[in-house]
Amino acid sequence: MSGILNTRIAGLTLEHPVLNASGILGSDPEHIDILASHGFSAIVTKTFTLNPREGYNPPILVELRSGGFLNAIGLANPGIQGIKPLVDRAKLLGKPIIISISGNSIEEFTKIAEVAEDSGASAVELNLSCPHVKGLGLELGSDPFTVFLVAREVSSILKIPVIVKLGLSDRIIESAGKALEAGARALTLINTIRALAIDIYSFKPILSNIYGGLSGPPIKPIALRVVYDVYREHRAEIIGCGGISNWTDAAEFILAGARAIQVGSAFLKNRKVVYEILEGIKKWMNVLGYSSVESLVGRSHV
Amino acid sequence: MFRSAKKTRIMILSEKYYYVEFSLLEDLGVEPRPLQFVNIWIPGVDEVPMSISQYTEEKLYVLFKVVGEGTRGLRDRWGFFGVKGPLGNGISLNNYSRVLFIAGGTGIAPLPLLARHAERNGVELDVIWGVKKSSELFDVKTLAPSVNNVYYASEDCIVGYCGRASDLAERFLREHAWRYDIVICVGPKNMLLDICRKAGSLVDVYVSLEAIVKCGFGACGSCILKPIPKLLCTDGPVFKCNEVYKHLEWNSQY
Ligand SMILES: Cc1cc2nc3c(=O)[nH]c(=O)nc-3n(C[C@H](O)[C@H](O)[C@H](O)COP(=O)(O)OP(=O)(O)OC[C@H]3O[C@@H](n4cnc5c(N)ncnc54)[C@H](O)[C@@H]3O)c2cc1C
Ligand SMILES: Cc1cc2nc3c(=O)[nH]c(=O)nc-3n(C[C@H](O)[C@H](O)[C@H](O)COP(=O)(O)O)c2cc1C
Ligand code: FES
Repeated sequence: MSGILNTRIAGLTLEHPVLNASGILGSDPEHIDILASHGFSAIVTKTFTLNPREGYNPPILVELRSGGFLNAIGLANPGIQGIKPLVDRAKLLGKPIIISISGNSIEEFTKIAEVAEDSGASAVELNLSCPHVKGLGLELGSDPFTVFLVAREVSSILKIPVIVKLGLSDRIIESAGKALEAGARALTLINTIRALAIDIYSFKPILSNIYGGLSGPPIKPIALRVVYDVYREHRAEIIGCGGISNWTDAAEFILAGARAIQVGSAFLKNRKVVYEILEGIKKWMNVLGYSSVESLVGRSHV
Repeated sequence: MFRSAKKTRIMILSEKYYYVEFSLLEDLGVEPRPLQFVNIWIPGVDEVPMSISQYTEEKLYVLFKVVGEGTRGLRDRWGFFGVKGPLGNGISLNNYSRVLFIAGGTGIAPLPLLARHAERNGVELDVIWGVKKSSELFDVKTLAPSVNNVYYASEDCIVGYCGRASDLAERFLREHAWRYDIVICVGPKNMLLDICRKAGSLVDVYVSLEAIVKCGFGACGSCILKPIPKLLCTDGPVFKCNEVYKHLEWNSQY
């Protein structure tokens, strides 16, 4: 495998830099088929918890007038017994698979991570950033010391690479540093941003969970800023995520410091988005006269 | 996108069936295709997928039966609701001249819009509708005046053919399949499987499926048509038999 789009991230070698974002399908073997058939270079699963979770009642997703989506799925997932079938399916399709993980305690994180490794996963992504699930997620990720503890415990018991996914918080640069110090091979930046939508006729918040995570074009400039800041501070391996909808968005993230990118909301609007991004990136590189996408990573930093 | 709608009318069609009119505060933006659906939000209660029964001049109609909290809210609550859609693929009648629509139970819901499109395209539309209890039946011509022939079936044998819609359809198609360009079938899974098996070789059959729809956007994956890698909310609900045979059979084992 060698080509201008080849990407090495967290010790994995990928055909190209475009992965799916966690939570876009990814909890069922047939979902893996769908994601693989739309061109992603590696599959990121839905976030897994130790025990199965039903998730919230609908409405769980709403498309906003201002663009983007608000979601509160509630980490619906089949629990750890659901991991192996996904890995097996990805293997069958020849795709690297990254298991996204969340837990209520460090023990839960390590337990799930071990199941992922034993199942043959390519890597794990620790979701320390879900903005709308109580006790899980953002509360963990916004405290740099907790990030350090979780990332260190999981990194110390796994042979496969550990990626840490962080959400927007005031101390994100510090949290990112702590994750790297603890042994994270790469960072995924960022998750959705806690937000709200209200129906002006019934006077009620639209999502059953009231709050949700904002994704899509409205968060792109914020995610880009975070990638830029974290790269500038730590020169880390970064997977950029947040509102990437076309190749120019992807190119901006690469220049800000992302070696790879994840696409979520845009895939819901356009099932051809991966191919379109790759075509655009190739043309862009051609215009610039570059023969390796990796050599463009972080080039906006002087 | 999310749109607000005001419930303006409810009609009781038969013992169990209701027809609700919503006035959309903004139109859907596109003309819905027959067999597309909407997610209807009942504030504070639930969000349920419903076939678009009819759509005219900023009015949206759905036809339903009460089965749980969500549909009870649809019947009993007044005021403002939310509508997402149109969702799904639907079907276009452009290339046909004679179509048979087979419905089981609430599968009759999309008929009014289908009939209007048929009339507009000069398509002759016949209907077979079967229910468990004849008290569920109503005269479909009240909602879809342009349909040609209507054949009823009831399992309590009081009205029309005595037995299931799929049995009537099978008998009927054995003789008349050649008259139709396509058959469209909406109803419970076992009925769809039955029709696909028995009529699939005689005529092109399209089936409209159901699954648990949560997000309606191809994100949550709850509507996956196991074991085939297709999502009802974005790839369906309408498929040709041979696309979904495995799903129909897979589910019938349970
Ligand atoms: C594309 C599509 C179109 C539909 N069109 C119509 C229609 O035009 N008229 C009509 O009466 N019904 C229709 N249904 C079925 C209708 O959505 C369910 O009856 C309704 O969601 C039940 O909600 P509830 O809260 O009243 O009942 P619940 O208490 O939630 O459940 C009662 C039963 O309905 C099933 N069900 C529950 N939630 C869903 C869901 N989100 N999707 C599918 N099934 C569900 C359950 O498995 C259960 O058997 C359609 C379903 C789909 C998927
Ligand atoms: C429907 C939906 C479900 C999501 N579920 C998860 C999840 O389970 N775990 C996670 O880490 N992120 C989840 N996310 C966040 C995405 O992975 C991503 O970080 C975010 O949506 C920003 O990217 P985007 O703008 O390209 O969608 C979800 C996002 C959406 C829209
Ligand atoms: S309902 Fe969520 S993917 Fe279809």
